Amino acid sequence: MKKIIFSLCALAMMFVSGCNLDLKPTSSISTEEALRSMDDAQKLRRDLYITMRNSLTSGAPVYLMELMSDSFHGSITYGNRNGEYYKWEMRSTFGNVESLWSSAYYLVMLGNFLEEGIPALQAEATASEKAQYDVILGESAFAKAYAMFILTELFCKNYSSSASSDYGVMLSDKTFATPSDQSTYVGRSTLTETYDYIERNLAKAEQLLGSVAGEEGAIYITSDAVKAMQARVALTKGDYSKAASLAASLADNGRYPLLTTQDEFTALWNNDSGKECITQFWASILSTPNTNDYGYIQFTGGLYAPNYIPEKWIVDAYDRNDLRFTTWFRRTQVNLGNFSGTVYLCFKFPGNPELMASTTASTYMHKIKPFRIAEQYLIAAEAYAMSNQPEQACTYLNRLRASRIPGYADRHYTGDELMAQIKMERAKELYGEGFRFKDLKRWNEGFARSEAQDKNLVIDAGSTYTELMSRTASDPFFVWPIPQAEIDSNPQIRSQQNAGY
Amino acid sequence: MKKTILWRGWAVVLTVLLLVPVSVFAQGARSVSGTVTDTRNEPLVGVTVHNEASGQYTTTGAAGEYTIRAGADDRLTFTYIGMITQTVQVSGRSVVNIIMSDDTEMLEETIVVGYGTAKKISSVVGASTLVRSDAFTKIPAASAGDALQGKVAGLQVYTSSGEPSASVSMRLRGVNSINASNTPLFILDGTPVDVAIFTALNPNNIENVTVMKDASSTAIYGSRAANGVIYITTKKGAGEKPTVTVSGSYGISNMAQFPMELMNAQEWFEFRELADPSLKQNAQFQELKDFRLKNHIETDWRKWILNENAPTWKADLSVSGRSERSDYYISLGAFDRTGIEPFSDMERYSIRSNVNSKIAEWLKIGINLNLTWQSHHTAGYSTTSTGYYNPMNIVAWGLPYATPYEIITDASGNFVGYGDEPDYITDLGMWNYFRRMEAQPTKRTTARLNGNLYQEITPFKGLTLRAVQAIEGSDYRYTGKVLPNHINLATVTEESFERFYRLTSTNTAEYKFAIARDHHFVLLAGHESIYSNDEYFSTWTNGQTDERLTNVNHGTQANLPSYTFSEVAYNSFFSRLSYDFADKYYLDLTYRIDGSSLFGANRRYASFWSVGAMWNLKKEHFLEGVDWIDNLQLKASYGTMGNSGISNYRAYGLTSSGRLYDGQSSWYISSLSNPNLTWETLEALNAGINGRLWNRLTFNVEFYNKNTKDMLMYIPYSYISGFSGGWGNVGSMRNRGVDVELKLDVVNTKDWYFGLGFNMNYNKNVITELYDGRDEFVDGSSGLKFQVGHAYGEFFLVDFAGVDPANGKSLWRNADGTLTSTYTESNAVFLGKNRFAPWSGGASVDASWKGLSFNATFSGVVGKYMENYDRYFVENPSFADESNMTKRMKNIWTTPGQITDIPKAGEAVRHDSRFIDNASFVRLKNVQLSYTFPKKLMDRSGFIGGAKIYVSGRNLLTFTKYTGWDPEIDAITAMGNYPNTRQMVFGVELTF
Repeated sequence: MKKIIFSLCALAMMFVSGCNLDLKPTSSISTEEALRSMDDAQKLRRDLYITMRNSLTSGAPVYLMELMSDSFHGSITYGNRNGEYYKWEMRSTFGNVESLWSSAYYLVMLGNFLEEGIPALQAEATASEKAQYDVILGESAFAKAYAMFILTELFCKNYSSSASSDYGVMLSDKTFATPSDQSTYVGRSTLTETYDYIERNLAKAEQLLGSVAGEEGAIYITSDAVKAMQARVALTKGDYSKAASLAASLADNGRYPLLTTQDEFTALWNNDSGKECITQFWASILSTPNTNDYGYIQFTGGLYAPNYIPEKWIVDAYDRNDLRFTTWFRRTQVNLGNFSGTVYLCFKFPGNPELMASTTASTYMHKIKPFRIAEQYLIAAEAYAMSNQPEQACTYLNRLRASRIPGYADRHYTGDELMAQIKMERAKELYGEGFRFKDLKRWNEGFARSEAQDKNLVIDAGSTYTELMSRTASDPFFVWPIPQAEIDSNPQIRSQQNAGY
Repeated sequence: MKKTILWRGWAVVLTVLLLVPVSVFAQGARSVSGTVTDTRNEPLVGVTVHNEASGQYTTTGAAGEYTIRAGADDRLTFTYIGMITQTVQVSGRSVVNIIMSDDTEMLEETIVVGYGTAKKISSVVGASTLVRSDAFTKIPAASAGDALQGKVAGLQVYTSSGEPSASVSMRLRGVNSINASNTPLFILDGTPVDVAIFTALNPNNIENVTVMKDASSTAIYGSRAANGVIYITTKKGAGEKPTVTVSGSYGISNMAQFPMELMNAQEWFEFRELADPSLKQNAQFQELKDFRLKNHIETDWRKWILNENAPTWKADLSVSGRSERSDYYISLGAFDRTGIEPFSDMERYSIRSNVNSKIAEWLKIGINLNLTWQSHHTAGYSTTSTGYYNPMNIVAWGLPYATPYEIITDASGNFVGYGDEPDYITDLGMWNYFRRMEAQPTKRTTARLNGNLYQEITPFKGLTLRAVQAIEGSDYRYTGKVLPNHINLATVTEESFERFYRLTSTNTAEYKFAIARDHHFVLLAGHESIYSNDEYFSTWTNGQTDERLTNVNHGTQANLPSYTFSEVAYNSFFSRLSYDFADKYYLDLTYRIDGSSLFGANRRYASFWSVGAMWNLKKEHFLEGVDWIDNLQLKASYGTMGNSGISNYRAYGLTSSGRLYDGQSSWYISSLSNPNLTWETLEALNAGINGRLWNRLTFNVEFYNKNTKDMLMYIPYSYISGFSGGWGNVGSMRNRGVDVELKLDVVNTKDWYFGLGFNMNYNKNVITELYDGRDEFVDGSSGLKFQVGHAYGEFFLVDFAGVDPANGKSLWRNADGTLTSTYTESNAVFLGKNRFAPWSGGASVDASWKGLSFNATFSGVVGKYMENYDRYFVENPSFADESNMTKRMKNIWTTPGQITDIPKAGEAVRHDSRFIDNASFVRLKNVQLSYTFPKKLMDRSGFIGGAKIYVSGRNLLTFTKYTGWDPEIDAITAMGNYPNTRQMVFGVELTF
């Protein structure tokens, strides 16, 4: 009897045990359910900022602009770190190229996702919530423009009379429901269409963020930040009157006074005081941006062993009492293997102690400053100079210099001399902040690296391959390659690679 | 486990089948009846009773009873699977009771083929290879996997690292999948387990390992069987007398080989001047050169950093035996090995208890329980391939003129001697590795358990109901610290915890019966549910200030912990019908339905099936008199299997928690959804012939053709979607090949044995279909290019064509074959060199004379290529000022007309074909010499039952052209890998 009962039990076991197969992750939520409330929208909105801060405005997208220009020399122990960029061996398969491209489109997708989801929420929202949603929509539009402009600067030719036939970038105002369907992909727009997209989205941001007043050190995009971006875009496009008026209005609105003392200036750079910043992205030790210092200091074992050493010309360009020179450059003994010497190193990003886990080792991290008022002074100066208003140009140039150089007496320039002065001032003011490569490209000038501070300390001294490299404005590598992964996965773009790759 | 009621119609059919005994009633003049029982007086159901004179058949009923018509002098034959056939004369009796006894032959060579009870090897329809315990017991390998290398045709096993805690990678009959797993399914005593359980298993506990290769043997495992099944059976108690076995071994480890020839100080200085003549005038350089060479300041960094003769030992104790109703095997094992890279080691303790008990004639229960505890350290930075602190990079890059010691000079700068080892090695521009690691102690411990409990009910002879409940679990802990007040690293203490468990419930019913005399059937039906769960938690703090108080709670600043949770579940139903006619013609049919939580809601269930047939030719009349053929069988099978070896939640579009902004949390979109995500399917055909000839040569040859369809792949998307791609089912791939296994007993007498074994596999892989009608695409996750018609894993790079003797520039091949000194990425071509070896095999020599026995096993692969990226750094003049170079570099181009393959200094070293090295190799994997003391001598002691001593070596010889650290690394690119080790051990085994 027992035998039969046990046997039946055993047989029954076969049909009553089983697992639930509908297992959902606990660490993530389904994207379809991710935008259902104001809280959700706020959380996703913060990712717009995280992405702008970490993927587009800090780290590689910043320091590569310096390594690919005449800002630094590789040291003998630089170990080929990003040497392919430093040596201008640009390839479509480079990881940094692909990750910038991918982050920019992620940001566009996220912006589109918010733009698609928020209207339904707004329909049932209170008036104050509706206004909050509008801000998020404004930020989404801004982020899309911001992402596409960064790509345009690198992956497209300069804006010119042939813009309507030159390639722009891929543009989209919607998310993709079946992303494996290649027929839904788009190819490159024209450069005119790309600028239209950027300007259209900035105009939308301007309208939706109108109520978000500018404020020094703002951690969110304000109406002033939209203007600053519009000025930057206009300058790059060559729309000088727009650039000049926008930049001048920001410089003149009194909200962002230029610093005049060494202590304040040092506090801005070493401790991220937020002064002079139209926007300074939020950061904390729990959420850090990438570092813009690419081994410029590298302090290990009580010794300095930098990967990259500032070029002599830039060091020589500053007055010795320039606030910038004092805060950003230090004459330092460096030890590179068995070679040593004393040179000026770039200390623009020494590391904000607030973002360091320990006081002994710097992480070289800082709060990211995407829009500084000083840039607007330089935009105003350049745009006025280019629209043949040298007096106006000199005003903004002199105001900036007067704040930076104690005892500076106003100078007046015209013509080529004026532009040369503005360009040099831009190089000095924005050194290390990721503008140099783009400025050189915009000016159509090419560049030439020059003599090192100490030949013993730089890699392949004397070589035109590194130390004395020069590139003409027509060098195809001024236009970055469309990432190979995009070419391979998108039939619409397959024949649209930039020349030279 | 959440329960849901599931029902399948075929199960009803089976149940009915079980309850209705098949019987055929004979007609005749006189009725003879009786009962058939086994030796334990249990009735046997379904015994075939045959009246030879009338040709009539019947079978016994539920109580073992039968009735048949027979004449007074007729003979009755009683046949039953697993029992000795009996023929008796009726001799006028009306009642003939029969007691049948077990066929002892059954007990000798049986293997378990996918659920169900064991089968004789000769009756297994599927393709499989058995590896017996002696392959595992005396070898000086930490993992049993390593011992399988070179043993089974078609099974490639690689130990990619010399790290004592390293696991092995295995592939059976080529690479089946591109993005999903290629690891076989491991079954331990009937329960599927994680590969980690197999890796950590004490090799001494293994009774045998069956490697199942074809659809017929694996399709019953369904969704995870596409890569073959490795079935491990652990030891059971045997012998009336309890046996105590004690064994121990001790030995040493060294680097398996040292093929990379690096420059000495003299050569390095000369090379620098050759590559950059301006250094001859450089005062700093000349001063350095003169000082170092004059004072013979030079370091062989390999000797400085690697351990020589690193100790390894193991000890095992086991007690086993069987009584009338129970058998037991209990073992304790300890293993300890120090690695050749500093700070790497492993110690492992394992306990196993296998107990089976027949608590009633119809009820058998048993438990197999295994516990292991492992503590290991890995060499710091050994996995950061291009890191300066990777020990192998210190060996390769360490400047030969440099020294880790302080150089003491007198007032006028003359060399006086060496001082201490400072914390910072100025010559290399880096911290002293040992100091840096001492400041960063780590600890990793893993406790593992796996056990299964079974109940086996035999309501009547022939029917076996079996329920198995298994629990597998592991608990991993990691502690990592950077001690305070040390070299300028931020102080930190990290604590990580990971717990994994898996619950498996398997229930099967198996019914063996015969119809008429020669039609033998085995029906199997079953169900299996698996639930697994993995949780990981990690937290870290900073700001510890005192070296004596550095626990995670001693920090002054806390960080948000990280946490992951993932679970996977499977539900499966399976069945098998095995049929044979007179042990001559065999047929196996299997069917399985699998459901898994891994896949999209639309495509969660899939079914798999197989058909297998075998013909035992030796049983045919026409071979009866052919003495030189001892055995001859033909086999063929076809079927489908699945591959579900991907991470979970791949079907969902997910939004995850991101970093803080403005002190508040953010969400980011992490993936796009695919509700149609489903199984990768493998269709496999297998055909083979095997046998034994002249009582000397055992052979097995099998051909196979496998098509992988609906491959689980990461499909690249345009970035306009916001993502680089997503998971889907696309493309097809084919593996076609042959397995050959030969064993020749050259001499086989009472005292002498000499035998040779050989096995090999050739596998040809080709991609037959890709995504969206395209014939090529680049895989975003690996950077490999796939093209229809080419093998997966074939290198696709610009072909480096040497050096232009006229100007020393690098030359590359254009698409049209002409040479150019301009490197253009679009000139990349398939090089015809594959990362996966098409040829693999092994050979063994066994010899014994009385108590002395010798075994050597060679293992090798041919046609394996690997990117030797170590060379990128040590054969690249632009790194020469901070790195040593190989001696080859002395041929650097310096003068017009010079024929060399090293371009002039300043030429960019590209990521081209020049670093693709032939990594084919043959290794003397294991060699053993052992001596068993004569029984008589042992008997005289009256205490020791047996004694054996042995010496054993692993990886003693390596034959390869590869110039990097180790050809056995199973990877596309080798860079800074922890190289394999060789061991020499001495061991003793005593039984009491």
